[in-house]
Amino acid sequence: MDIKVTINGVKKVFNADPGEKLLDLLRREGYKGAKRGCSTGDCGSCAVIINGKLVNSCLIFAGQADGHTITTIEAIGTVNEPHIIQRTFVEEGAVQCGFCTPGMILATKVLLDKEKDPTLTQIREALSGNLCRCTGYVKIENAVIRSAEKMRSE
Amino acid sequence: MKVKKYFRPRDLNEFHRLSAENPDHKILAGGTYVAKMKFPKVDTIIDIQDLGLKGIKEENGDIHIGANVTFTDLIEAKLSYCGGLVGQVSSHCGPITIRNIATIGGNVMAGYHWNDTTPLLLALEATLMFTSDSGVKAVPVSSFIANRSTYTGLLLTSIILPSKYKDAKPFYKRFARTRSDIPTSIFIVVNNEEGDHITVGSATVKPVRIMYSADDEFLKNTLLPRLNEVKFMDDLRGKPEFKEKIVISQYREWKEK
Ligand SMILES: Cc1cc2nc3c(=O)[nH]c(=O)nc-3n(C[C@H](O)[C@H](O)[C@H](O)COP(=O)(O)OP(=O)(O)OC[C@H]3O[C@@H](n4cnc5c(N)ncnc54)[C@H](O)[C@@H]3O)c2cc1C
Ligand code: FES
Ligand code: FES
Repeated sequence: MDIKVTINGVKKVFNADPGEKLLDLLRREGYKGAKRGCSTGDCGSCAVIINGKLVNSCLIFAGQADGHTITTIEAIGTVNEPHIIQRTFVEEGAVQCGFCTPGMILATKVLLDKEKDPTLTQIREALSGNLCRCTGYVKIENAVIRSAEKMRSE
Repeated sequence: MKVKKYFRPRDLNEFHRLSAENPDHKILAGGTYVAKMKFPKVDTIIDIQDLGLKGIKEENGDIHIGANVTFTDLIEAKLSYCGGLVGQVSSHCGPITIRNIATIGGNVMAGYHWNDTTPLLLALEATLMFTSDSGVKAVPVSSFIANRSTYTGLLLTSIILPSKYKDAKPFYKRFARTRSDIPTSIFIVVNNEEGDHITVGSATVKPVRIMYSADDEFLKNTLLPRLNEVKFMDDLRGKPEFKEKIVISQYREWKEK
């Protein structure tokens, strides 16, 4: 079946099996920033943004995404030109193994697009679907706060 | 689940036709439950996102919620109905990544009683609106809980919350291991012209709604025996004795207020 989407600003048509999950389709098509952690909606490492909302691509059938707008981590920044959020995560030591990082960055992006100066409660709420096994979250929360400060002063 | 066909009907007629033609189908709303389960017999998915079941509206004080409304939609709607209870409960239905896609209809229909919405809807005496090719059926949520399997396969189109709880001041307590974990016990009290009604959910196998009577021994003589009748659950979130203790403390907290 054909899946027509606008992905990272580009209109594309993908071919998917009727039972295929969006995560598998994305990874097959080269969007490898979305990771498979749990496949049960618990970890958020497969997170992508659909129509402005953060969702787990492991729990979404490819057919559900047909006609919608998807943003993956690939659209946020590159190795040579990282987004402020990505740079700040590195500077603040909020990245260790990096497996959770694409999901964390996307969750932060959705939050900061809406809230320029989020409270700690809002940050925790925005990251509530993303687990990190390495950092203990303090550095991630600091990175979100610092990213917000930098984005406000730009 | 070996899915061979995936449909996204545009209206109810097309939905009914596809359901009849594909007896081994599964209705798909947000997919947060369907995508995780095995369903060995299912070969067809019918995605209901284009059926227009996304509205939230007020009609003569009643609140009509489309089955495909997500928890995020319910939070963002900021309903003042019953002191904002619907938004408050919705904010606990999983982490944000789940609430952004999981629907209230999917939560009700997923087939378990430990969720957050069943006790909410029972407390508010909600009506579930189902449709099939033989017409529309209005089902009180209490009947749905009592005979859940009767409604398997029917399409839930909307949920109606009655105007009588519009201005009620609810008491709501939820105990869970973490803020967005599934609940271990839910305790809701709403009042109407007859008095206070207590609903207990998740701790027991089925949620229970019971009218409060100002009796010193109400907990011992009425509430706990009723909950024991439907049985406290024994699962990874706790033993029956633990769950009973939580309900007792939630009850005491309400009484102190
Ligand atoms: C990580 C995680 C945490 C969670 N935490 C909580 C929590 O704290 N509290 C809680 O209550 N829930 C929790 N859930 C469960 C979640 O809320 C449900 O999976 C969700 O609400 C189901 O809705 P859906 O739209 O995704 O349904 P789907 O997965 O699409 O469908 C669920 C079931 O309902 C049927 N169905 C769906 N819509 C209709 C309809 N309109 N008519 C008839 N049948 C229909 C489907 O066929 C299927 O059997 C959690 C889930 C996850 C993955
Ligand atoms: S892989 Fe999707 S939430 Fe863990
Ligand atoms: S950095 Fe390793 S899981 Fe988060």
